[in-house]
Amino acid sequence: MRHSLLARTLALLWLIIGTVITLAPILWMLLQALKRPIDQIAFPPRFVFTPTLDNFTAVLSAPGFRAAMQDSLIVGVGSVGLGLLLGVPFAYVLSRSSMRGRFELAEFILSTKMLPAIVVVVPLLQVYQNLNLLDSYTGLILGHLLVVLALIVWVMRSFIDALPVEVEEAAYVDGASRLRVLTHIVLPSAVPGLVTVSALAFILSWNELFFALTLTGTNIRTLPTYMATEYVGFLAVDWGRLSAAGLLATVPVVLLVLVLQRYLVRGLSMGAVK
Amino acid sequence: MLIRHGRFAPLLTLPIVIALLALLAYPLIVTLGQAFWVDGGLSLAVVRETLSTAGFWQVLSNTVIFTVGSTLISMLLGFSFAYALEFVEGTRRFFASVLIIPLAMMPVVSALTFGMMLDPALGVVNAVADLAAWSGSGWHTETPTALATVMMVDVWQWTPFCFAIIHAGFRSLPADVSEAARIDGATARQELFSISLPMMGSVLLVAFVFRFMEAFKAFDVIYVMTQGGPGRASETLVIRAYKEAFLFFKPETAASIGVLLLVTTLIAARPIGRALTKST
Repeated sequence: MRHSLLARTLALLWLIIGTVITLAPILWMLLQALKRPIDQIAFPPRFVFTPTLDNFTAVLSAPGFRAAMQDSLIVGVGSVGLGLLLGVPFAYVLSRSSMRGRFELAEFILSTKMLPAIVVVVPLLQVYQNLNLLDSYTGLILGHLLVVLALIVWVMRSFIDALPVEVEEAAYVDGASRLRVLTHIVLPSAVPGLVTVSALAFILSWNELFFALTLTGTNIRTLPTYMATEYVGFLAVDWGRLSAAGLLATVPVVLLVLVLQRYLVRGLSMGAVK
Repeated sequence: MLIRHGRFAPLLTLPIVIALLALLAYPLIVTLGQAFWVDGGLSLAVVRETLSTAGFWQVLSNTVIFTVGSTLISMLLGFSFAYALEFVEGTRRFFASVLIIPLAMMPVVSALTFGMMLDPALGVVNAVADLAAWSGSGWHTETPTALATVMMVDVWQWTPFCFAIIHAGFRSLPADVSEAARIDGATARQELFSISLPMMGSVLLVAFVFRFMEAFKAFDVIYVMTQGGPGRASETLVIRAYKEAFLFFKPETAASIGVLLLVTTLIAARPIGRALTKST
């Protein structure tokens, strides 16, 4: 046996504590979502009550919530699509060419991971005003480009790096053009990478609050802005609806992450850890 | 190095460069202008004014405490869970899956949920504390505890990030090395500090760097839970800049705070990029 019984017990205990702390807020959300209003605000809080699905049906039938979900979907798909279109070709250059300045550009893109959006958003608003992009899908999709590009470029680069160069070389020898090698050899073999990166980038856009809050307002409200405004009133917070909406907005993404677990770390570390 | 010469590589790079010029470079130049260009000349007046605003130094110290504190605590916790996971066998997959869940949670929802649970009057946490004969706390609603509370939520949200990367690091250590060490009579502690940790240097660096970046620009949790309050108790530079721009309509002040954030980013991002290109 590797470790002593004591060490294994302590480790297990610590992991159980971690699990409880990790799950407690989510389970509490679930409890609140299943409560009738009278149980939600009961003090001390109730752990035993007659469950109801009213909150879920109320949230799902609220036009605002469905519109927000639709807006989030459109913006997510749009920014991931545009991000792939701009980012994947450069990831390929980064991996396969010796073009000068490619690493400097890649580092510049990486710095968007850290740069707080407030630094660019005020001038961006003025540009948007002139171009009539305020509160539009296009405007927010462009904003979310800054959220997804670093991930797409750096992680795709690590996926392309891992592809065997010999296949591409053989294609060149057979007389294929550079574009043909990219579209018919590199991209098809990079499909697992493309799927992973798309899903992770989609989650980034789905959860993003700042650009949504500042670049859009009344026409377009993604889920994070909707959540941050709709269920929080000055006098009363509807905890049941809030919890139900929170679960509906996050559970699909949680499942997606669990499905992607194999590649998750590569995505989180920008391709640095495999 | 397959595409060496010609126009193919620049052509593939052009679209992203155009997008970055429009979305990043141009706004950055305007921000610099707003911060330093006063009445047709270079001037430090706006910056000086921002630095002398009441509470600026408190906001700066909040930012340092929040960024460094959240980063270190989530690194330590993430490491401890990843290391603990090395001691169990059958349940490893289960714990690894559960412990990463907060990563996928929308930060707005995490913040709202913690706000609900920590509500001083009606929240479940103070109610449970009451059972344990502790009168509870004001959490995010009181000045002494507000910053610590938003840090706690941020740590809950991001510890899984550190955990996932460090766990992958532990899992990728070659088994034969630790095998050999154990045969030579190394204790668990020696194995951790003399073998595992030195081999995981770059993994730990990557986890630390990206966790730090996220903490530095943290916005959602503070915005939803406290909006920087009460008073300035949990206000960071990012929240301050947001308020200057969107509540007080002082874009120049926001821009000069932005310059500070930008400079910090640029200083940090270069070595980070270097480290990443080397470790891949």
